[in-house]
Amino acid sequence: MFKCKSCGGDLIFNIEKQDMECVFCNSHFGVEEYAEDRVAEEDEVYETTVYTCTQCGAELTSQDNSAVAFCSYCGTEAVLESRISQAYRPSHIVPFKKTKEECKKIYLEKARREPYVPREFKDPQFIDKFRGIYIPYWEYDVAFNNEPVLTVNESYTSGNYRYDNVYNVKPQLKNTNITIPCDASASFDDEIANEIAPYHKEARQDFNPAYLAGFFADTADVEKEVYADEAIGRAQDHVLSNVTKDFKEGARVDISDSDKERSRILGTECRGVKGSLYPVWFLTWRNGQRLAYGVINGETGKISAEIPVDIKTFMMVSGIIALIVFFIMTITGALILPPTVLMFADIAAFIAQYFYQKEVAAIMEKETNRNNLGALSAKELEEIKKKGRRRVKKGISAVIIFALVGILAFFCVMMDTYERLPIVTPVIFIAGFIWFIRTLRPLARIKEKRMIFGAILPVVAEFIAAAIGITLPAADWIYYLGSVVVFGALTVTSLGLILEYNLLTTRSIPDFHDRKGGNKDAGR
Amino acid sequence: MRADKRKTLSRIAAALFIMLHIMVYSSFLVLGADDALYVNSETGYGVYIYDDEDLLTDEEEDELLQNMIPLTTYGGAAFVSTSSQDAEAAVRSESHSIFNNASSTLFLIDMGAREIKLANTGDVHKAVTDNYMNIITDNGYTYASDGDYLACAQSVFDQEYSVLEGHRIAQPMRYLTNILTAIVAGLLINFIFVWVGKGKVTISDSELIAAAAGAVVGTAISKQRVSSRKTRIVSSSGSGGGSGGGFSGGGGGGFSGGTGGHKF
Repeated sequence: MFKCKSCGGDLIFNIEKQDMECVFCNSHFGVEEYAEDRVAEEDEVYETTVYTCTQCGAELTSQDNSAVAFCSYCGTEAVLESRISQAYRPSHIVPFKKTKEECKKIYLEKARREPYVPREFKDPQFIDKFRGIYIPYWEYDVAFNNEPVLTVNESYTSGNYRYDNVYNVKPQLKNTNITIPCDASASFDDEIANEIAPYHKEARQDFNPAYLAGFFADTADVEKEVYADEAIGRAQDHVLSNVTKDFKEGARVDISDSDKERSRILGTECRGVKGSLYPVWFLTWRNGQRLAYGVINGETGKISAEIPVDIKTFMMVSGIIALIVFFIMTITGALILPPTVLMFADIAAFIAQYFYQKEVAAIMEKETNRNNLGALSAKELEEIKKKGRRRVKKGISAVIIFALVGILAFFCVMMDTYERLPIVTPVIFIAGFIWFIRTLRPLARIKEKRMIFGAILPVVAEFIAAAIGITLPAADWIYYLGSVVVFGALTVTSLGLILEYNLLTTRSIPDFHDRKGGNKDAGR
Repeated sequence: MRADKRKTLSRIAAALFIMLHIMVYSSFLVLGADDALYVNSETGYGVYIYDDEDLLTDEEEDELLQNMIPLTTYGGAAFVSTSSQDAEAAVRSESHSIFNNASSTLFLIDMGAREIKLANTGDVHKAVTDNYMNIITDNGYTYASDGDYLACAQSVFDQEYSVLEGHRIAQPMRYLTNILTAIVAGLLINFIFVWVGKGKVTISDSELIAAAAGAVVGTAISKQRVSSRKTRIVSSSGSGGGSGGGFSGGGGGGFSGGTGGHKF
């Protein structure tokens, strides 16, 4: 604990003034006045109090010896176990720039913009639970030693012509290096870290424990090696994207996708890793076995907020929309014929299925920590290393899918449905079945097995619609019955969509007990 | 003087009488009055039955005629049975050839396509819209399925007359399907609103690294073009050019009303 030079009271870091302030006499002192006398340059440690959550095993350190009331990672309100320990001394620290009051405003603004936010999320008492935490990061110093000649392919159209150009390019690379920051805490999700990034180089200061006064710090429990390949790969991606900056959009470097091969060509190597502490404001909401985090970048104020949907409000608004749709249909005399009803239900079933698959895949990613390397076990890390780094693939845009569905729906309504039905319904069934197969893999990896119903019902509905569509019976009641079955399945899936959405916007309680670092539940 | 006046008046009366006759006669010509089984003396609209498929007996035709007569207050009325593969084309063609777009209704049973069709034009179409036509044929198709073509035609014409008179007709399944459609639309629209609204704001890896590194690394210091290819894009549309003249004109207008129907 840092003591006031005037009265001996406790000092805390004052964010607004960027200095040390006495909580008793309000005296201010420069942070540098509390710099330690360091002896060794490397492998240094500093003394701190480590608090371990008895429920989830997460660890937080503090310069303050007062009891910690709750765990930020699992939301448990209990006195945590504490011990005096030696913590790894980072090289740099980005001090807090955003005050708690600013952070509360940012969160409230975000909560107001989100649809159907549970009232609790706007409660001042809840928002006041924001806690300032320094998150450890590894900063990988990636150096480039070669000056290769790279081939860039550029293609573009202008007027009635298409141009295909090939260039030899020599980038300015030799003796340059890039710093790649990666979150070094197993408890802190990489997805959140990416969402609140970046932290700027200019804001970095040499580490001084005085900056921690009044805040908590997470422990660096992820081995430095975990992100080394990732850092090299990202640095290479960065360089290669800069190479094509002066070319037309879409130009790309003709180079192997393999990070190893790229390293050979560019002469990339990781010269060293340094620790840094980055500031975040952290808020935890707990409801039974589910958690939601609200995290704000303490330097820039960028926010990542997991906010579930209030089901009651959602259903109420859905009801109002349904009433409006029904009213419009009645007023305009819009009549949906039996085959058109079936077609509409079939298309809607596919739309619901599309979103359901997206949700299942996203829940799987989140529940198994696929994007959080620091939380994975050694075996899983080895597997990922073998497979190589995952690159973000650009899939078919949702806009295109919905444009296609819209066109299909338009033709279905405008044209003679008796003619379209035998074509459209089997096509939707085949597409839906393929989509369902895509859903099975993530489904097998997540806890909530009930989700199989939401996934399978649209396919069953699409099968029924296709059977009716192919046979084209004359009797209306068959279409109506088919439509009712499809609508029934669709209603269950649609309700599932919003319930699972809340799974996606929350997370299960982590378990860091079994080993240092990584979440025990990772990679299930 | 008085005699001249009488002469003039009688001439005007005679001219009006002749004009009236010409008007009535010409309207019969347009409506094909020769085949009309009945002509409404007030409106001039007629009733036509062309049962080429012999679906109705003579007695049944007489019975149907009685159901069709009230419709002539609003327009011509026709019953046609035929055998084609395209009921839609058949009903349009028949309506146009019999009524030439004058206010009318035509009910067609296509035994080839196994479909019943209704085509309305003019004032009748303004009242009995496409939606109504679909409801009417929906309510009547089961009779055709059972082979009771008289009941089918009677049901269709009776419902049409009911709508023309400003009454409501039964729309049994409409509200159920509208309710189901509205519920699903409500849930899906609302969910898509939530899904779209959740968008995360993440910056690109390059921006992230640039911020952390504080500098841009890897920009090209020299570039040399080694090959270049320019290809003309051949557009698949809009560049066909003129293809010479072609037959235009003739044929006159086409059917300009609405149709509705149902398979049976």
